[in-house]
Amino acid sequence: MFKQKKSSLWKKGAAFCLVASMLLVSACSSGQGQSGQGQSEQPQYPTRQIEGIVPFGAGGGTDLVARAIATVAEKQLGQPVNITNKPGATGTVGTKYVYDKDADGHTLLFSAENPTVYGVLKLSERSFEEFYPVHIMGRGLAAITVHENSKYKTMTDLMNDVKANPGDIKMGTTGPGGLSYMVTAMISQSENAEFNMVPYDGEGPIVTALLGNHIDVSIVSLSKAIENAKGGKVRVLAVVNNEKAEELPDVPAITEELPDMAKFLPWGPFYGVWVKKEAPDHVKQSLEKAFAEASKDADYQALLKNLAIIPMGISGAEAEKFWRDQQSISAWLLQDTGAAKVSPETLNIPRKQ
Amino acid sequence: METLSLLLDGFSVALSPTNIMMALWGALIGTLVGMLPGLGPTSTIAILLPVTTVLGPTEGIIMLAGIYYGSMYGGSTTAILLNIPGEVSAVPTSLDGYPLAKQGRGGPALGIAAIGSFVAGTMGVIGLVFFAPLLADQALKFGSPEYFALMFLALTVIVNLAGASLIKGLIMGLFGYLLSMTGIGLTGGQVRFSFGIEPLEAGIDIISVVIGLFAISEVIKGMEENTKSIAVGKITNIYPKFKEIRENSGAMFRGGLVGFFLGLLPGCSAAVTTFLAYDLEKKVSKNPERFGHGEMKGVAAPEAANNATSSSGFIPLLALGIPSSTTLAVLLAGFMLNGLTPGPTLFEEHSEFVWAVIASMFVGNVMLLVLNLPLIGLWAKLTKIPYGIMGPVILILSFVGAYSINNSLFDVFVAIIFGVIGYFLQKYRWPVVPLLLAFVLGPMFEKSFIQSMAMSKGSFAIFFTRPISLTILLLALVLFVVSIVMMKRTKSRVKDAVGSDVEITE
Repeated sequence: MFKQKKSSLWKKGAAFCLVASMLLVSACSSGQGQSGQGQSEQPQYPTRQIEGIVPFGAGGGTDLVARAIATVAEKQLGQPVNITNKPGATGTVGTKYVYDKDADGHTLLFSAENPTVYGVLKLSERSFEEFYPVHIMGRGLAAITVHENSKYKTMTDLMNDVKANPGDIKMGTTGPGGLSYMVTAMISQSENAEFNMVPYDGEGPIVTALLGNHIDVSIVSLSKAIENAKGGKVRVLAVVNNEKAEELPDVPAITEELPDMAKFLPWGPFYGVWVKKEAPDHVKQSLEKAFAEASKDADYQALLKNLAIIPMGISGAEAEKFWRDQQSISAWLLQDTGAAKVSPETLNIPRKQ
Repeated sequence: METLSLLLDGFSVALSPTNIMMALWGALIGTLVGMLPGLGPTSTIAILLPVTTVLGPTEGIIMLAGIYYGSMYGGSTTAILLNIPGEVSAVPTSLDGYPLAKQGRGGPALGIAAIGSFVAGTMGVIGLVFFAPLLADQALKFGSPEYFALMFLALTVIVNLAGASLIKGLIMGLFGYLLSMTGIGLTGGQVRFSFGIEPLEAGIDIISVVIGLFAISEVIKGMEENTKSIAVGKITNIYPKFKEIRENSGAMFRGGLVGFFLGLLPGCSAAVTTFLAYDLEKKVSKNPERFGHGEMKGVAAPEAANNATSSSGFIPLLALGIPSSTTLAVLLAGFMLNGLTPGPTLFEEHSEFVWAVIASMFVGNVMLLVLNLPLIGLWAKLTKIPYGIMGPVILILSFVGAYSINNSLFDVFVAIIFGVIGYFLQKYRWPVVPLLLAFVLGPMFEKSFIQSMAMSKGSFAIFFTRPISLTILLLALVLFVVSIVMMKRTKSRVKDAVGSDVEITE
């Protein structure tokens, strides 16, 4: 026992280093506390740092966009906006986390389009209905993509083969509600075609399988497709939109090849900032103003361009209409394919027409 | 020759004072981050992504890459000394590293880990320099049926990790597999085994399981046994002897090769390669019974595999833009943020950048060695701290680690529950490693099976008609038989020597 005393200083030092480094690193990840509150009769907002929740993993599209706009918006708001990732279960975990917080505007949700289908897929009861759209940053497009050496040169080649061999063409898809699943459902429905859907758990694995010729075709986000098309490894047959994409002027819009797809479009992923709908009006106004101002930032706009996101910058009623339209398309599509667990009718989601 | 001159150009950039500093920073931050369970390189790199736009792409990516391979090394420190594997890939290291630390040989174990990491990391970078485009295309030939076969091969390792009773090992493996199914399934989005508990719909996080089964259960055991300190005996020497390094060089090279080639495959994470490297080492060893009780080769091989995997993971990333792990996926986002698109064109259009990053990996590996060897003495002393202090510190580290995975308290509860489960399992001699292995491989196993079945429209022939898949399956069969025979032989040999039945592994 007494022998240990001699080197106790060392041990304490080592233990201190360990604890200190631990605290240091954990402080970096969770954001530092903030003091200094401005108080007056007028409702003040924000009075402390704002927690921005990204319900998806770090480094993904939603995360990148959220971090980019948050760094500018915090200058407008005068309080730091700390982005925290709370991923899990298609974003339901993080969405519910924000829902469980006070409606004082100090917790924001930075989400992609996924909550629009939480209801019909019975993933969570807490979706966009509970939130107010502060700012919808923009929307992305999907692209029909094949291997560079694929026998399909055009959308028509592909569709002819699908119709000649129903159920044989291997289409890499994500789970129900995911981008490629939804677009495949749209094509199958409007063209009366049948694919052999091979499920993958994300865009990365789909592209890998496509490059290795393990699947015949897939639908990925435009930014992912451009990234690979630039290297000459994949060919983009069509952009899933009612007009061509700026970035790929030679690639047709899918409506040029399959006109019946028009009823589903525009449709695609989108990114937005949300606050609980019970938040006071002055909070909503401050937030809207701050994010609208922030969206003018050049670096942020450059990032959107890099990720092939079409800037929108809408809020309030306009944003509400936008996401509800998107929800209507997605929810009824899932209902028609049989993937919906709860009918959109029960959830009062009207069929868009 | 052109490659060499490009590499030399790369060195001239990487050896500029700023870039050396960047590699040093990266290695340092990475080591610190790697030591903490849960807070892995992924979140750190994600948080630091915006910094790259300020620093400039070359400087920024050099630092982020440094964090990536630095963390691979850092993970081994806590795995060896405190039985806290910060990542799943560090689990095999702790299997023999922790017993070594208990014997007062934590210092040499850390030294061997550092040298093994350096050797294999350098091997990996050399492979990256000369074979990048060539190997990347080969890796693409691995489709779902091949991954299924590979997972099958990896699962046969359970036989070797089962310990005294193969039946117990298999039961634990199945238990782990069931646990891995928790959450939303791949096809159809069905929620499984959530029992109405909402956070369980996201699945059980592997890091909470690792922290619970290893670190927390160890603290409970320490409390019960009234442990005085981790290393009860005298610490004999801090640094490994030259003889030890020589004895382990074979293990380092084998581990490095396994790690390098499997690391090429997108989706084959370091968690798989380190287990396979550990298993291979046990198979070629003359004294397999020593594994699990403090065999230095059991540290050298997985550590080498770990770092070789992290280097070779850059091959599909740079050549094809395919990230083989989440961390590399975030790093890919860093490339994109700076307008650099990985792929064949990257080598042509931004060759200076690519070669500077590759050269910086040589620099960074040297940095890691220089940085960590002097610290070994300090770290090794941790094992002499009274357990009354270390136990709570380990618990706090475990909780922080579990919390930081998703910033959620739920993962902390999961870790505690698995700590208690792990304690009882070990007390009643049920092996926990098969559980963990099946838990790690389970999702990949299931996924590749479903995908293969979708591809073949339900025909099992797909596994036997594709040459790579068939070869791996046959190899798995051979290894399975060899394992069983070897286990029997070792058991009887030990019995002859000791005169009674002895458990040969934990």
